[in-house]
Amino acid sequence: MNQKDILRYFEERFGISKKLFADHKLYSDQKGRVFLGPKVAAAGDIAVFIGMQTARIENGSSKLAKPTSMRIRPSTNFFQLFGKHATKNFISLSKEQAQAYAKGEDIELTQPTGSTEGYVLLKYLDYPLGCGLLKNGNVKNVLPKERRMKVEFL
Amino acid sequence: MEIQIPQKFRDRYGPLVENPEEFFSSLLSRSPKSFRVNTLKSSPKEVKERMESYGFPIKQMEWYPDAFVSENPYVGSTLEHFMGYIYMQELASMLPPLILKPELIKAESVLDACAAPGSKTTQLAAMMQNRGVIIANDSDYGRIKALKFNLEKCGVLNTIVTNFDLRFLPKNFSMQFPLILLDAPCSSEGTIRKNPLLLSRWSEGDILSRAGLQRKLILKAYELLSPGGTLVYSTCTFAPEENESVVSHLLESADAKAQEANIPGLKCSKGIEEFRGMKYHSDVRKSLRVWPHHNGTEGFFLAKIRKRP
Repeated sequence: MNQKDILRYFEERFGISKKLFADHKLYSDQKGRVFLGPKVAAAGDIAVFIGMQTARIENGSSKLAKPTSMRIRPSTNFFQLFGKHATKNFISLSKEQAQAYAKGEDIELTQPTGSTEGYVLLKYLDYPLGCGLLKNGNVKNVLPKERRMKVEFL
Repeated sequence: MEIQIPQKFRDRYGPLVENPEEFFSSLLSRSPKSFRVNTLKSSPKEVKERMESYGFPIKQMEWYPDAFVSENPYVGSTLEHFMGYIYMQELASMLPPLILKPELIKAESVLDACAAPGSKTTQLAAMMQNRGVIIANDSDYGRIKALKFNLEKCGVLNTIVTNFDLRFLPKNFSMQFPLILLDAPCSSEGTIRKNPLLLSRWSEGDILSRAGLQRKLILKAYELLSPGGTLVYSTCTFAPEENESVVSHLLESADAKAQEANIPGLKCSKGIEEFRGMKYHSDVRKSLRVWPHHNGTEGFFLAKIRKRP
């Protein structure tokens, strides 16, 4: 899986066009993380970190996963910045669900969403909150621990 | 515990201000909660409307429309904070990027030499609207994590984070920059309002030891400046040894030229030319001193220096 696959995934799954990233450059590291950062030659030589992490390439959920089961997990920060351009595979949450998401809780859905299983963008009103994993009709919370907080005003 | 201002502190800074008692009492009062709107993700208008809809009285700063003050303690519990639409930041700490505003519009690269935890880096990135490149450096690896976190939360795409001691840069770090921000590590006297305990361990020895490092850092930063480039030196402290004296050291040992710095709408004083018998380069008066009792902010010092083309 390479950087082109990541761009194709954003476009195919969420309708987020690669044109949005034309002024920046994708970088990847050995842990399968992909970053969007400035276009600078030799940046990798001096950097401990470049730009913003957009996604991580995962080995599915099973330890026995074969390379074919690799999947891409968009980052919450990526969604918060570019999620407003998403046209599909997003789920709109109620106020209570948005608060639960910000706290790190999983979300039980009461009705079908029109999204296919896999990673989805979670929204509240116009706010692209972040990423969740849609599976068996529920959303598993993948918000990084350090971003979790009690949101009292929304 | 009641905090007392040490007599040595009073003797030192009383003569520098026109109304010492007002200055000292301002140090013992809390500064209001302030935040900056992150224009990479939102706008002052949008945030203002949302805060008002929560019933939070907020005040927009005339000298910087992205800056707001709120007495409400729950600003940090809003969806806007979760989303990275606002960044909790002391008003005075917003000044260094602000005095670079005219230069930032056309800058292709900026070095933020002591960047962690990233308040000013995220502000620079917002002012550049993610264009160009910022090298966000910090010598303290332990603080890089907070820097990364804040950059990502604010949606900053134009940074490269590095972890060098400015004094000992490796050979492959051979760049020069048209803009450099050196927000130097300092004795932080200006932040006493936020952290009154600083007064209990305040010492003149601490000031002098930091001044030694700051002199080295400012010379190194100047070396990294491209011809015609601009360097902003700032600290959050009152001590002239860490401020005018450091700038004077650069002005005397290099072909550096001090630039007039100002923030329209904010009450500031000029840099002082003499302290306890030490005379500084006369151009240090072009720098800015921000006193807590003037605008209700913390204390700050800023100097803008240009390298001859």
